Amino acid sequence: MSVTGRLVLLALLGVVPVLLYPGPVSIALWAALLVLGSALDLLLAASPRAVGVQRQLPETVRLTEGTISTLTVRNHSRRSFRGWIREGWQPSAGAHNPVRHLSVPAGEGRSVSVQLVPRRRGDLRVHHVTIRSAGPLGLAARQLTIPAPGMLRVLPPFRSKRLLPSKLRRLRELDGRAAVQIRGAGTEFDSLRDYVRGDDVRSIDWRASARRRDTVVRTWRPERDRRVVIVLDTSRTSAARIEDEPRLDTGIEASLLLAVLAQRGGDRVDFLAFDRRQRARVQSAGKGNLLASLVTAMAPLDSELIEADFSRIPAQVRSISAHRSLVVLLTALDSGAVEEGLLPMLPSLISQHVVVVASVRDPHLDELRHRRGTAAETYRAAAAERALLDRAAIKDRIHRLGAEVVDEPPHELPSRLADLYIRLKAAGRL
Amino acid sequence: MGGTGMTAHVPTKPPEARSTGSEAAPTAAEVVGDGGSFRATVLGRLGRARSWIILGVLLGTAVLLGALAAGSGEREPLSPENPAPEGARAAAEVLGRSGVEVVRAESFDDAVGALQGPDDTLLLHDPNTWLSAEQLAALGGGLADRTVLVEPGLPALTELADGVRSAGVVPAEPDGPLEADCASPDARAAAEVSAGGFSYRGQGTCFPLPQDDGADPAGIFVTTPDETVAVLGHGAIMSNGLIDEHGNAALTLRVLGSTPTLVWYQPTAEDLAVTSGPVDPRSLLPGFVNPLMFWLLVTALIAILWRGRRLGPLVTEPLPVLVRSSETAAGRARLYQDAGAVAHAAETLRAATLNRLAAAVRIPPGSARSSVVEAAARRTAREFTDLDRLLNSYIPSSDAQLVQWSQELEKLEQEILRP
Repeated sequence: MSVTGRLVLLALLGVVPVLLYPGPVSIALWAALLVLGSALDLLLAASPRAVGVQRQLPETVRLTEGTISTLTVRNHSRRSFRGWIREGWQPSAGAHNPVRHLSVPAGEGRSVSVQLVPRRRGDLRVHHVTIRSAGPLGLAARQLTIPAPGMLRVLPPFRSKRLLPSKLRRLRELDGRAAVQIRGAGTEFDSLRDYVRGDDVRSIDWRASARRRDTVVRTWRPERDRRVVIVLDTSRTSAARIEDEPRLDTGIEASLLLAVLAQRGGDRVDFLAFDRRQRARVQSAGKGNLLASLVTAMAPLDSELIEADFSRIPAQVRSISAHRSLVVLLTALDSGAVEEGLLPMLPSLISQHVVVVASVRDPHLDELRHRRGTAAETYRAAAAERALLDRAAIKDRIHRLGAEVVDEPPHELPSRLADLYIRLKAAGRL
Repeated sequence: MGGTGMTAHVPTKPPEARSTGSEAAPTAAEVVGDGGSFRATVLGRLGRARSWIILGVLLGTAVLLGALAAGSGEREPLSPENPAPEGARAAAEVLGRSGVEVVRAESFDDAVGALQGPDDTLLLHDPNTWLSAEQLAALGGGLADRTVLVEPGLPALTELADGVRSAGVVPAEPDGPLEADCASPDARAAAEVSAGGFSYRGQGTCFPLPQDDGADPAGIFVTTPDETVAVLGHGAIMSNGLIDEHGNAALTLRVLGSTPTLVWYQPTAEDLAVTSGPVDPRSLLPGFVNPLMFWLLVTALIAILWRGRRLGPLVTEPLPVLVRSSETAAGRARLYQDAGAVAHAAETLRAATLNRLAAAVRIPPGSARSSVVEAAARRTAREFTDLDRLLNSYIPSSDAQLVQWSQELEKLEQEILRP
């Protein structure tokens, strides 16, 4: 049960009789009036146990986009319901108006909409709905919390989607280029076309030219149906926040852009989130909604506070693809963790696959190393330089092992990773 | 609250006849009630609050018992309702049983009122001298037939017992009882009483102190010649602790029980004659203020109930762990500073600068320092020795030197990287 502001106002009104007839009698009478009114209200209020609640909720929503949770409130009692309804969303669901006032006549239903603007990726939950049913006088109310669980999956925002058209254009430009410009091991024969001035004479197909009266050149297209395996590290290093975004979220953005690009480029994409065990896995389901299944799988990912076990990654990759593939490892290049985990594992992976190690670089370190005003700042600059030197050394070692490294600040990483993919594809290294 | 702007009418259907429609958003099943009942809710709440309720009841009982015990226990010495050794409940009870009406006067007016009847005795015990001379005179004006002053001070003696003088404290040495040694029948009946209290001098002095064997001896019981006023210097003989010793009981009962009514008056601070002292400001307020304050307090309590009741339980937010990435660098910097690792920090700064310079002047990484310095010297207008000192040989030894040198290093780097 609960009391309302109206009861407080009525109590305040009791000041008048207390002033006019000061003494215990007026106080007792007014108190009795309050108690009686509240008791009457509680007796006559519609039972919150006879109020039915039904929620209509979309399954997924993209982060930063709003959605609506619609509650249908049906009054199964014989009394008219007047009161408040509150949906118990967790705070990061961003419910703008979780408390709604409404009145439902006996036997009827009303729907109320709660606007949600989620502030976090992941599975957001609502556990209960609280019903407060006020009596006819509006002095006191009955209150009941009923369990009505619901879940809203908030998908990663995929902000780098805006980069997709330009990257796709670059990918398409690879098609139909003369072989000499992109000569490499894996380029595939595409078609024959008439020679135009400027084409490399070495790409003239003499046999075909002999059959026709014009000179004909061969054109090539980038290889297709290669496999791209994206491995996202969800271990403790992914919890680091760089420029207002955890490393994990940047990794998700980069993998989304790369996956969509690679799929449009005709390759098969597999995604794996891994620390010591598999956290999420999306298989190349051929055509269709790769993006949808990817974001759904990525949405509930969270950084785990454990050390990644890189030694198991080759086996995981082998189980996904037995053939030579492009393996993209989205991880951190912090010294210490990498020397013990990633580096010993890389040679065995590189011997079978083309490996790209992508990591988020902290631009704050670059700021720190330029600040040398005081002793404390200078020491901080030295520490930043040490971190950068260590990082450079690790990158160098990975390079020498034969893997590609993409080490960029958060807003650059998705774009640079996509560029690297296009470059590798153009060079026919997939 | 937005109000009813977003509510919409929905046709009611019984929950079971619902068809999960073809809307875009899936609809969950309807939930009605929490599966409990009003009774179950109340019982559940009580059950959860059981330990608190038990604690509250225990506390309440303890407070109540304490209050009861304190209420029956009067702490005032020689009070007729105090059962402690210093109290005089025993004497009052015995007097009451033997037919004397013991009236306890709570105030001066009370005492005056009680003394209006005929044939009464006034017992006045005022160790703190609360009563003024005027009040004492009013009590003495033939109001009581007999007055017993217990350990009176100078004002009481002056006003009520003419001819009796104070003779100081009874010394502690005489351990034996005092003997009556006078003509008073009450004292003779008692024969012996316990020594102590104050001594007085007067015409009818009884129980004289043994050391004081002059012509005008001091004793602890003095009566005026007309026997209407008795001064008892040792009040403790009436107390529960001492009344059963020697002839204490006899003296007490005879002195106090000679009339049908006994007014037992022990003045308190309330009886202080109010002169032109400061007025209590509360008495100047109008009469409605106290009830109004009380009612406003009640209203405030209701308002607290109104605002304090939450609409449903709190919802928890599972928070992910996030760590600032540059925190390791900051930690290392503090380690450098605390350890005073000037040389180490300088070496790191130098190595980083040399690396970048080598890249800028197109010298393969890992070449000798001197070659980098030479190449750098060619790019700037600076002297080779100057650059060599900066990039190669100089080792700062204090924080100040480190700061200055690192700033020079930074300036040089900018000169070469952004000419």
